[in-house]
Amino acid sequence: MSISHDEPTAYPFNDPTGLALSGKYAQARSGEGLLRVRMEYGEPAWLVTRYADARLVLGDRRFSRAEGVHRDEPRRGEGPRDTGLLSMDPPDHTRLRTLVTKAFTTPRVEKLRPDVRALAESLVDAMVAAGPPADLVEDYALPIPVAVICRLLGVPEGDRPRFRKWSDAALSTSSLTAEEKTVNRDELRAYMAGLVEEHRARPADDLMTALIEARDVGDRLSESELIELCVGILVAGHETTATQVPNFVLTLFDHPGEVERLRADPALLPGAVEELMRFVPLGAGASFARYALEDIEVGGTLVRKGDAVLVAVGAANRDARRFADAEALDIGRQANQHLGFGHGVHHCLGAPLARLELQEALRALILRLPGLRPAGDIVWKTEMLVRGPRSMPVAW
Amino acid sequence: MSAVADPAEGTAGGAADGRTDSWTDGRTNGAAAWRVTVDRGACLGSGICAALAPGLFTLDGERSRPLRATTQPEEAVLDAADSCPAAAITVTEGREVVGPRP
Repeated sequence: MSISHDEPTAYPFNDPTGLALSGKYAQARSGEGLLRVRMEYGEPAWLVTRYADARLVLGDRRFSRAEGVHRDEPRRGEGPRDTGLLSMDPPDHTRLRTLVTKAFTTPRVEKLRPDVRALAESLVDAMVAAGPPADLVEDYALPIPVAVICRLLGVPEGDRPRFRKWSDAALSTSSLTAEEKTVNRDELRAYMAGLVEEHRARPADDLMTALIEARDVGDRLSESELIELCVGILVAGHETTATQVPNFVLTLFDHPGEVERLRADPALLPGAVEELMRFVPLGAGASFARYALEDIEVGGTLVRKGDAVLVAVGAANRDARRFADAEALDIGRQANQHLGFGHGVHHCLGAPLARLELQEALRALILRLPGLRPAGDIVWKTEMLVRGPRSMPVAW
Repeated sequence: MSAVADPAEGTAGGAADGRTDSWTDGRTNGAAAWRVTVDRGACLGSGICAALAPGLFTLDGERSRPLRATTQPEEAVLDAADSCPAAAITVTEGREVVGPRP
């Protein structure tokens, strides 16, 4: 096997405009061993593209995220990324994450469903009242998760324009210089520190108040961890869902038969969301490299202790060894254990909430606006970790 | 690959049905043992428990199950129960629920 001696392949593969999965992934999946890749910045890494290999790397603690903090992590942007929980390993990771897990469990978020449904329907009402065209991102996809996470965490919804800018910066890959990113990050932290002080003075029935109590009474986290955690929840709590709503709608535009199935039987919605999570490769490429803590064989390649490994979940989700007819969108797919929310200790903290929001966002659109269609050119986010429309005109 | 969620509670050891009292006071070396159950119908297959406590949980058909019905008290079991996004893991000592922690 001479792969490791070859010049690494340039990465990421996916075109940032659109939602296609690059054909290079199919090649990598069927090739021998793991592919050696190099991103614009940082050290080269092994690229995992097969489902079984992805589960191994994401689900085994012999692969570390925390190690990346001391390393020249593969990345698209110039500056190092500060990713909070996602830069930690157990037990520190577990200590912080379990402080907030309960707010996001399936039984807990299910209680929010009536409110989320009413919110989605009221936004459809507003779009109908204003008349077409509407911007599906600004008028619909963003307001839903923003409102939900703001109420849950205890952040004023009216501040959305302010934290949108900081949140964009936090997830941008290369459009900003390292200094600009630092300025934005500091502004967002200062904003959150202010909110924490307000909550200390006036406790409320929200997650921020619960975290303040965990710090002030239980001494379970430091002040900077508290602020960092709130920032992480706010940013991760809305950006990805807001991006996947238009991505899912766009994908359904290409599959009118599946939309008809859904409209005829809305009970298919939860399965449809799982299938769309599997089918839509959200990222422009894999990120958040894992570092091997010992020599481990992965997919026919001996990964050496200290090597970086990138896991392309979008490719793993189309692995024909795991998913029959993997390239087809089938909203009735059974046993759909996709990796769209990740796997292992870093499995998406907000997955149950994201599922609920995506189900309700699609439900209101499909049932209320049967004639929903594109009404102009999409503007794509091009320099973000996630792919998706920045604006998407629709009519009905 | 069969990954269909089993609606019944998955408990290692087969004989336990979740209601048999004789199982709840299983003791090892004199210390009260903890009984661990995973609701396989609720399990999302996140893989968090199996990553946190590989000696205690395994993914079987892409859903979690405990490797043993009872275990000695240890922090890792509670961490796994606390971390489960589906709240599918329950740890009991006798009749008392010890995990997930409140």
